[in-house]
Amino acid sequence: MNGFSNSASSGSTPDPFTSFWVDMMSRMSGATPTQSAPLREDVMRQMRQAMFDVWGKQAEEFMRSDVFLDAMKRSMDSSLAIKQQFNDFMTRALHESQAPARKDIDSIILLLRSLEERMQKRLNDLSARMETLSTALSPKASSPQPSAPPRTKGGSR
Amino acid sequence: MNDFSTMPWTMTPSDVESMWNDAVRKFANWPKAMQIAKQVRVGVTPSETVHRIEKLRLLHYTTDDARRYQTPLLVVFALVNRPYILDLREGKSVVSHFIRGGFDSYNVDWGVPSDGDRFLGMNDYIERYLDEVVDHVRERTSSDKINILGYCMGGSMSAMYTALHPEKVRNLIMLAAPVDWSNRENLLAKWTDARVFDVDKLIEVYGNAPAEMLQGSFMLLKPVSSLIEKWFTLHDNLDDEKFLEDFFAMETWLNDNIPVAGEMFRQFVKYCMQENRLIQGKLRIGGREVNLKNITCPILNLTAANDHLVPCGQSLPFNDAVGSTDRKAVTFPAGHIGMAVGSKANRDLWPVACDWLAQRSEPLSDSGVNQVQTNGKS
Repeated sequence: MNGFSNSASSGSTPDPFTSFWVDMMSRMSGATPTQSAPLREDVMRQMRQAMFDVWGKQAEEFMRSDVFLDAMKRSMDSSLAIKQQFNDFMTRALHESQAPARKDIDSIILLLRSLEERMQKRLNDLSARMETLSTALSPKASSPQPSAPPRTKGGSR
Repeated sequence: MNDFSTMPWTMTPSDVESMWNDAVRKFANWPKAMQIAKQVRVGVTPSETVHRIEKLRLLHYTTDDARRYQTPLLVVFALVNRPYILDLREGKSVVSHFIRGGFDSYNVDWGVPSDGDRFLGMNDYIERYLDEVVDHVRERTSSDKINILGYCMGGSMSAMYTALHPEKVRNLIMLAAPVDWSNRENLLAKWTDARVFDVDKLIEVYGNAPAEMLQGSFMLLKPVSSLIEKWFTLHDNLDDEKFLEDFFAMETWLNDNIPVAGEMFRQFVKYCMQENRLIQGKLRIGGREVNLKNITCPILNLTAANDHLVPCGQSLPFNDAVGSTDRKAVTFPAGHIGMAVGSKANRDLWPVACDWLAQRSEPLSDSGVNQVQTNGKS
């Protein structure tokens, strides 16, 4: 369970801000100078990095929590509902002005895709039948292989 | 009593002067930094478009390096963001390793989907686009089989393709590619959980998965690093020209977001991320079952130890799921993007991956050289 859980925390568990603050300060106080940079600048950078690390850790913990996930779901549901209403309004408005809406264009796309699939299937069937026929008619059924690798379609187009 | 002069935040006059000078020097570098940002160049290896299918472009890397292998390499990137991340800059280019290693290399640029592409799904991307691209490369190079390198979602798609067409793939390299979403501990898995994320509704309302939403989500996975820390790092390195060039190249890629075709996004999130069908053998594409056991070619599975998007636990089960006997897994100490653009990965990982592929690819015969050159100019 993390500090951002919905359930009430027990008396011995510090609240999220206290645990964040203690963690950050203890990490920052662990900064020690090295030989690679001027002392003060080096220590300041280490402290800054320690602070960012703790912020990052706390932010991730928060974003994993039920509180955040619930809020995310609610905000997404709301924004999708608003967008849906806007889409519906636009559809009605366009239809009222005798213009096609996205819905109508989508229907045409789906119709074309369906036509394409059916035609492709039919062509595949036809070419398979042609192949069978030409194999049956040709006396040299085991003729030489084509030089280029054969194209084999796995799925419908 | 404490000696406060030893505290790092206690300034002496000379410290203040030094900090002021440093700040002025860095501030004076801003115009130069902006100039570098404007002139940044990404996708450094010369390439030509050799095939198009609607918005998809197949890029062929043109090079003076001698080709040594008959088996070409096809790089398959994810549908999120652009594929030039694998060829970002000099010294940070995965494809350049393979080109220098003697491989005829190709890259799939899926293009930017528009509203009309919202119904493109897995069957379109894998059985139609990818299959046609693979056939084109096979025909062009007179090879029965090709090598595939799949990155991230592109790796998952490559695995699906190889399972459906094992006869066309000689070797498969998976780079930070998820295949098993049973481990739901990483943040992205939490956010895409079916109880939280209604992908059907999102696609119904928006059509395609909006680029801004995808970018925002990826940024929020590491908010402190993406929104605060990197700007401090930029400020610290404002006088380092090399750093600035790398930084702005990376920023260019990070902000070059594209939407994902709605049906593809819906199917990938729902069937793979939420229902985990791929590893269970329950995924069907174009009416055919995607059985990973059908993959019998050599496998190199590269995973990143510090990957916040695709943890190793989502990639490593692939090696046990395939039917191959020649399979290798390498976990490298880098992040998701660092695997492609990190200096360490470019120095230590990719030469090894290139050797691995070279040992398993068909060398080019003398007659083959002529054939490849002829086909290459057709």
